[in-house]
Amino acid sequence: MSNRNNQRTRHHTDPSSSRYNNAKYHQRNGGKNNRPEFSRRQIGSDDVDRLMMSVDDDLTTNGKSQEASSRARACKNNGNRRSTRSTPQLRKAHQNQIGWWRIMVQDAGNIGKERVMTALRAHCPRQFQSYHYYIDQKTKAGIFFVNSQQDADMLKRANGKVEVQSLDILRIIVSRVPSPIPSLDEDIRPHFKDYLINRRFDQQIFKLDLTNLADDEELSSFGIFPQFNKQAFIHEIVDILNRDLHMTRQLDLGSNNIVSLQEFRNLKLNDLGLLSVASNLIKNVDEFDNLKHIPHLAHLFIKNNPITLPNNKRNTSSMDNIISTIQQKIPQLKRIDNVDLPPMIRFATDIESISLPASVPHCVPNDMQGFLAKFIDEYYRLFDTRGREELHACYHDVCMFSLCISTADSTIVPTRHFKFGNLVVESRNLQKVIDDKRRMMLLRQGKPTVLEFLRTKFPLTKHDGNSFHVDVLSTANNRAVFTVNGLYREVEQSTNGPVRCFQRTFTCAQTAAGVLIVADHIMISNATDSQVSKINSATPSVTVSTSQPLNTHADLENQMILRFSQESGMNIAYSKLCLQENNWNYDKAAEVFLDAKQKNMIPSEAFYKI
Amino acid sequence: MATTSADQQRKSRQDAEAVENFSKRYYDILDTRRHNVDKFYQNQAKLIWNGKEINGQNAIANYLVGLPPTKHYIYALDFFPMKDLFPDEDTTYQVFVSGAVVYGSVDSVTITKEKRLFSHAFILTVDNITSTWVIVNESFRFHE
Repeated sequence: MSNRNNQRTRHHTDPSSSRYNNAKYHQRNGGKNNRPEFSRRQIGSDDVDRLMMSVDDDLTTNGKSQEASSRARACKNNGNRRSTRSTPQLRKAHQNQIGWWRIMVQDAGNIGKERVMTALRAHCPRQFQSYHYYIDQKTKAGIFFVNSQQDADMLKRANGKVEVQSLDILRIIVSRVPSPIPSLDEDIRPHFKDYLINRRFDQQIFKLDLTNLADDEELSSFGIFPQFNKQAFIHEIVDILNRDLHMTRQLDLGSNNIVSLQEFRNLKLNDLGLLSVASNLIKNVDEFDNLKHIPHLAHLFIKNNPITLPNNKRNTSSMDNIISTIQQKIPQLKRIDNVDLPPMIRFATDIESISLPASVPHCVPNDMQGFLAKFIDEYYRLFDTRGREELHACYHDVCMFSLCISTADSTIVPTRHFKFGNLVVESRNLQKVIDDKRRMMLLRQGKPTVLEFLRTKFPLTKHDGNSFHVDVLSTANNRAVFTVNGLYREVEQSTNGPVRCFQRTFTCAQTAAGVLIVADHIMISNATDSQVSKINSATPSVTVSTSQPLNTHADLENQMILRFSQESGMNIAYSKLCLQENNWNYDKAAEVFLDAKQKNMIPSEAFYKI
Repeated sequence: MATTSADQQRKSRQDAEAVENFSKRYYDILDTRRHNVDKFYQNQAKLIWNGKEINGQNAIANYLVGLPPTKHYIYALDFFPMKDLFPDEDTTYQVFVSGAVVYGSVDSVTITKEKRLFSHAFILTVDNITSTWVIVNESFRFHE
């Protein structure tokens, strides 16, 4: 305690601007000393000293400004004040564990801060420094922070012992927290936003200067304590930028103790051409991956970061390597610091994007469309009925059935995690079921066995006709093999049951008794989020066929006309005429058209499109 | 069904092995040596790829080769031995696969890859002339 009166540093309540009073700042390179600045979390020994000194002068906490500047001063540890750890005070500091503790005084909001704090201080044997006192609106508790273990313990012991002017016994709850500052709450946000727009944004050149936010006294006076090493804070800034400052063309984030650029992945500044992250704490070149989505980012400043400093032992790459690595990550860059980048030669195969052919809803031969639509319609009507009694009419006596469940929680394409419950036991997945006997048993053969399973073991379903895609694989041997892909919901328990994605493969044979199923396979997996929203938004489909017709005759004709019109250049009316005259034989009509065109026999009005 | 239970088991195991081997090789070829995929198809095969119909061994091979590079992940596999239903016909299986597929070259880091879940059903039979397994018909659909 002997250095209490040592005025070697500026008092924390001294309102004169910033740290530039400190002699060390008049060093050549501004006092940064090529040492990484500590992030806010590390409170070094100096702070304790300063705290102990300041307690002497200030026994009560009152007024926002004092707290504000105390936070700005005492919480932040300037790297250049790193002293040797040898004096007795400093050793004591080590024992006196540094960190943050949150002190909650119940009902302090109602009692009043003055009374509470006076009573507390009167009770406590030692003086303690409190930070950031505020009232929690919901619980009306008074909350403040201390950053020494001794203080925290002392306050903990005061629980239930302090009386406030014969009104209440104070209940005090003490807990350890990583940092004192709560995140930007709703009330402060607009101030922050306004501040950024008014004070930091240059309207002429669309430049946003966010350098040194931590030291900004105006911000501190609002109760805003920028902490760029806190993900939540960066998230907030990015939000504000995206929403209110999206026209920003230049952004300067220098001197903000930034370590990670991960949250900048969400930055949507399409006009941003210049970005500076100079004088921060970036150590890893991979952080720059998070900037590659900014389309017009041409100029990037990275100097004065651990990654670029030559005496950083971790840094084994030369500056050239770093520049070239960053250029690879952000190919649109043209300049890094003051180095113009040579245009990057890339591989054409890297630049092109993947394109997959578009999907077609169904693949059903014309002559089967009518029949299939009816069959599927009727089948699922019976299938979606409790008990599935009437299904027996659909199956052949000699038939087989199997259920296969894909239970994999796909990390490649995420699905919803609906449970399958006991149904998994009935699943014949060769990747999961290894035992031969079991495999044989799960392949159900014969109508009674098949029906028994479908009636008793398979949950009640409601299929979504809108989601169906039908493909006919084969019509050989007087049998039809076709697949139905789509979605259904299990409605056993509730109307909001699991949504499954299924592929059903039917093999049907034409018999005297009609078309009967001889083989039936169900493959199911969980639906993806987008599939679930599709099934939820779909209008309730009464029947399958009304919802998505498998290309009615009229549809086919219309499609043909459209195609003919596109390919020939003739308008719809003439295309239709041509097709009709050729009995809807597309190829023949095309021949006739080309022939006539060559002979100049087509009236010009055929090509007039309204 | 004059076969004994042991026979049945053995046959069932053989079937399963044949199907498992086939699907493993098929997806492997698709991923690594796609130019050889034509060998898996019968001459008059038919592929329905997300609703698009492609007929004939060569057309199918060309179509598949034209798709971006892939990596397939198989989550479920099942089959029907059609011989049980139609003992007089050639050995035929209906094979059912469910999994995930990633389109995009493995080395490339700059392009965003397309990822899909898929369901695949194919009819597999023996080509009597070459005595090899070949696909006759197949339906491939993304979970959309």
